[in-house]
This record gives sequence, C-alpha cells and structure tokens, in this order.
Amino acid sequence: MHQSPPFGSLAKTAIGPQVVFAVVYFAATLSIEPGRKPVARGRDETSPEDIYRQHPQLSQLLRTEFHSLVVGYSEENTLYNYLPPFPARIHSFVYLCDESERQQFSKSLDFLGLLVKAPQGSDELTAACLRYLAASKEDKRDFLVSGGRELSRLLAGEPQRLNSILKRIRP
Amino acid sequence: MTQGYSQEGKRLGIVVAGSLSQGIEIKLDSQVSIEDMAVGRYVSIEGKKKRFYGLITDVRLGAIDPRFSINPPDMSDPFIAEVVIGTSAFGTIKVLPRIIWDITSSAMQRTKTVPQPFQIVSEATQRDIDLIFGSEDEKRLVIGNPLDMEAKLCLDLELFATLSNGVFGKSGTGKTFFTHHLLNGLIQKSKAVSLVFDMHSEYGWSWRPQGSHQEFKALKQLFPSKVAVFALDEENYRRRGLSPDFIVRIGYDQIEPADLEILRETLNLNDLQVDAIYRIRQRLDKKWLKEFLSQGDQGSIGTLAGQWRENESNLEAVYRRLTKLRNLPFVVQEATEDSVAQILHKLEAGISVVLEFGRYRDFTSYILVANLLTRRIYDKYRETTEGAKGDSERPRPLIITLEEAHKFLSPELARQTIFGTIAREMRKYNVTLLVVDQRPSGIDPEVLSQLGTRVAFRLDDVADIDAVLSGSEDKSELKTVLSRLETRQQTLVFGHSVPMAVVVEVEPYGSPDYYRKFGFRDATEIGKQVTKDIEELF
Repeated sequence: MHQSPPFGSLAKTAIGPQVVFAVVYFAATLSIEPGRKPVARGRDETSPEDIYRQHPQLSQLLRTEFHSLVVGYSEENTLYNYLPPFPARIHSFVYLCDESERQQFSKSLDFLGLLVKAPQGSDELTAACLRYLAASKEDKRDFLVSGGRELSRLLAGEPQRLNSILKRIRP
Repeated sequence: MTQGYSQEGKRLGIVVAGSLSQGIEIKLDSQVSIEDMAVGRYVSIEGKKKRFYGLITDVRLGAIDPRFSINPPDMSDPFIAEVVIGTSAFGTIKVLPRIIWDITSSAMQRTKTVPQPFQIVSEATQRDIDLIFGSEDEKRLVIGNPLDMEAKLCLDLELFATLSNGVFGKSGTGKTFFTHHLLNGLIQKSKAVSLVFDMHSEYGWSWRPQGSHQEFKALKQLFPSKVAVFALDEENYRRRGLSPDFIVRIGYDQIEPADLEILRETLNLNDLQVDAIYRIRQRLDKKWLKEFLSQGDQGSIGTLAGQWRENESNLEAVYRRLTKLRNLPFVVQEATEDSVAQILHKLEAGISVVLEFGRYRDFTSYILVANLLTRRIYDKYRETTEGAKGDSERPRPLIITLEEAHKFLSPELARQTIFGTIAREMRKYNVTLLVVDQRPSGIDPEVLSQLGTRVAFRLDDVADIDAVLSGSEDKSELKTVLSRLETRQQTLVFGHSVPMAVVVEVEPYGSPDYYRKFGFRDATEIGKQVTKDIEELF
C-alpha cells in the first residue's frame, strides 16, 4: 500500500514472448469496496503511522492501485512503438522498468504520439514521462530537446499545448 | 570529375516545395542558423539521378502554425528556443536551380526539371565549383571566390572574348580593380589584344584609387613587352617620370563629320548645322575642316555661303562652333605620324594599347578621340576579316575597353557611334567591347541586351539595376541578389561566359603575390636572378 510507481514512470509486464510497456498515468489509495469511503481517523494520534498501528485492519481494507497507458511492446529484442496485439493478462506481474530498459525504450520517441493523443493522457503526463526518462540519461538536455522537437511536430496546430509542455520539461 | 553521390558540403535542409519557374523552397535544418544564410550563395541538391546546382535568391521565415506568431513561445529560455527553432518556427531558403550534373551520363545540362521532394540540400564545395566553372588553366582566369566560400572561381576568357561584355557598378565598388584584373588575365593568357580608352589615366603605368594612399601597378608595369602606352597628353606623362610609347596627335584631315555629329551636345550643334557639316565635307573633300576653318579665319564664310547656296548665318554658326576644336591641343593642322596606323601596328603584333588622356579628360576630347580612332580601327578590322580566307587569316580578337560608356552608347547616340555598331554586330569582325560604366540605365537597351557577360557590382539606383538585368532570364530573382551586394569587392557575374549566375568576392588586387602571378618581378628579385644567372654562367 502507498507504494505506487511514480507518475509518468515506465512499467512493464509480459504477455507470452512479448513485453508490454506502459506509462503510469494514475495512482490512488482507495477502499476495497467501491462506494465505501474511508473515515477520518487519528484525532488522538501523534503521527499518521500511529493510526495504522492502532487500526491494523486498515491495511486490509485499503489498497493502492495505479493505471498505466500502454505505449509499446517488445518482442525478440525489437521495440514496437504501437499497441500490442493482446491485452495483458489478469494476474500478470507488473514491474517498474530498470535503467537499461528505460534507455532502450527511450531510443525512439515515437511513443510520444500515443501519449499526446490518448484520451487518458494529459500534458502533465507527457511532461512527467519525458522528465522521468531523461533522468536516466547522461545527455539529459539533448534528450529533452529531441523530445521537445518531436512534440513540436506532433502538436503543430496546438501552440498553447506545446508551450505548456515545454515549460514543464525545461531542464 | 565528380561521380558519386557523397554529400561533402554541410547539410542545410531539405526540399519542401517549388517549381522550375519560381525556384525551389528549402526548409532549413534546426541546427542550421538562418543568420548564416545569404542570398547569392551556392547550394547543391542531391537528386536520385541528378545533382542540381543553384543560387540562393531569397531567405524567409516560416511557422508551422500562424498562431505561433500571435502567441510566441518564450524564446528567452534557451531550451525552448532550441526546441522551437527549426521545428515550429523555421527558416526557408529559395534556390534557383540552373545547372544539373547528370550522374549517369556525367554531363552538365541546363535545368529542365526540379528535384524530388525532401531531397537533401547541402552547401556547394570546391569540387562542385570546379565542376561548374572549371579550374584554372590556360584559358580560365580565377576571378575570386563564390560568396562565403573558400573555393576559387574561374571565368572562361575564350568565351568572354567572343562577345561584348559589361562591367557595371557605382563608383568605389571596385569595378576598376576588376577591369584591371580581367585585362591582366586577357593579356597574360593571350586570348585577345586590348585597346583601352583610359580616360582617367588608370590603366597605363599605375593608378591610385580615390581616397587611397596605395599606388597600384597597371598594365604597362606588369606586361612591359605586351603593352604599349599611347598618350594624348605628353607633358602629364613625362611629369610622372615616364615616357609613353607614342604621342597621339590628330590631324584635321582625320576628323570626319560623323565624329562631330556625336559631339553635337558638347559642341552645341543643331540638326541644320550637322547637315551643313556633311555638305561641307562633300564639297571640300578630305581637307575640309582645315580649309573651312581657314576660310572662316579670313572672313570669307559669306562668300562660301553664296557659292554653295547655304544659309550664311548657319555656316557662321558652324564655323564658330568648330573653332572650339582648336582648344584641344592634340588636334593639329596636320599630324606627322598616323596614330591609327601606329595603334593598328601594335595590335597586329599582339601588343595591347592603352590610350591615356592625361589632362584632357573632358568629354569632348574623350568622345572625339575614342570614336575617331575606333572607327578607323574597326574599318581596318572589317576589311581584314572580310578578306580573310580562313580562321588563320582572321585578325586577333580585339577588345576595346570603354569607360563612361553611356556617353557613347546612350539611346540617342548608340545608332550613330561606332561603338553602337560594334556592340550590335558583335563578334562578326573580331572586335568586341568591354563596357565599363556606373550608369547602365544611360545605355541603349538594345546594346545592353547584346552584352554577353555582365559583371554587376553594387548599384543603388533601381533604374540601373533594371538596366543591368534587362533580358536576363532570372531578372526578378537576380534583382534581390544584386541589391544585397556589399558596397565593395562583391559582384554578380552572369551571362555567356559563366554557366550560371554567381556572386563573386573578387580576387584582391595589388598584393606582391598577385603581381607575381602575372609575371611581375621587382628590382631586387630581378637583381637576384641576374646574380644567379651570372654565377651559373661562370
């Protein structure tokens, strides 16, 4: 609980021989029963941790979930920047990509096309994803400039959106 | 010669639009700064089967969406500026492709098509320039380097000498330097002999440009055995410690009515008086001028008028106006030696002639002498050419350099003066003109259109720019290029002797290396050579 991957980070899961990559765009800690809202607690406690100690059932009644947007998959070491033919299976394990996978994935910037056009996507997400991928790069600035240029092409008719993303990714 | 497709020059961008008539539009790559682009520069466009060469004729800014100009990005941030330039906002250049290098047949052609979309555009390299203009050899002269390039650019003197040509530009732009350079090249490479009407005494021994302290060596110093100086003003020449090869004197009997007709403005002659002069010539024959003036001196114009049934006051007026010729010291009753014959003699021997006017730089002297001499030289050339049975008998090509050419070639005079005839008849008789002028708009358009190669330095007046470019196929594009030339040392060369128009940063004149290239050795060098020769001999 409370350990969702960062907003804009890259997660992966396997579908047979395929590894699907997805960008985390939503994370929340909610009640396991839909419609049942958590009650405010801890009036007499000194720290939030004390609440969980006093009410151990809370960790069973609440859970943290995150949503991610599929932006590509790889198969036999080839990366495809479009949607995989099948969805991920239930109970597949999901991992956060390690640095080498992030490097590999960000060699092509074509995933930005899916990101800026997806209904679940947002300018905040695009910016966060670029910042997240840039962090693992040695040439951080160059990567962000290339990302920005790719966005300039994708958002050719939307200067306002482009401006707002660029302001969020400047190093 | 170039065969491969390899891109050697710096990549500039890609072809995005265009047409054969309007030119090709090229979007610059983001790493190419638009501020480094300049009209007049050469680029090459790599096609699938052909390589296109052209001149940048316009530089423009573009934005991917018009809203960018209303709501511009924050360009003070270097990151945003780096992203946006070249993508959302970009530079475009317009290129006029004029020459195609066909890779499959290894042949140069005129452009008849355009490259495919999105082909790569690069800066032209020395190899490209050599391919288009050729490299220096016995008939090609290096005239400078193309704009913003290190490459050497050559002019084909053989082609140059076949037609009349023009060098234009306002004063102080370097047209005299360039004319010198051309003449040096023509004399060194012996493509033609030159006759220079040197109104400002610049082409003989040396000259000092306005506002400069440096003295530059002229033709006689560089080519002592290939150039003869004829002086109209002996005193002026001797005052400089020099002695001319010949002193030009013009006898009255050498002056023809046609020579005076073109002086009608300076001598203030009207139509009636000009007609009367022609009739006097008919009646008095060869010595008409001497005879008529002496009759006038004796006060017998009235008697003549009676005899010839001429209007007396008209004849009196003619007499008064013709006496002005006596103010010209080089016009004498009878010339002891025939200057024209002397000049022809030199020209036939392959020696170029510079005619220095010295102090007599007024237009009356200049027009009278230039027209009179040229008419007779031209007649002689025509006779020889018409009598020639084969090419070997044809006289050596003669290039007459004419400064202040608009004085001879104005629309009113071009039909009367011999220069108009030479310009129009072109190379028929192996005589061509090298017109040097700062007011091309004053020259008859028909004459301008006959000029083979035009060298245009900076011109400010729109009428002059229009005149220089008249009849050129890319007039509107070249106009942009021409009006953006620097005030000095930059020129646009286009026409017959260059495969395509080119902006040239002209070869600097006057360095010791420059003189040495044309065979000049100074006294110390000659001294060393003599010592060495003596040592070797003994």
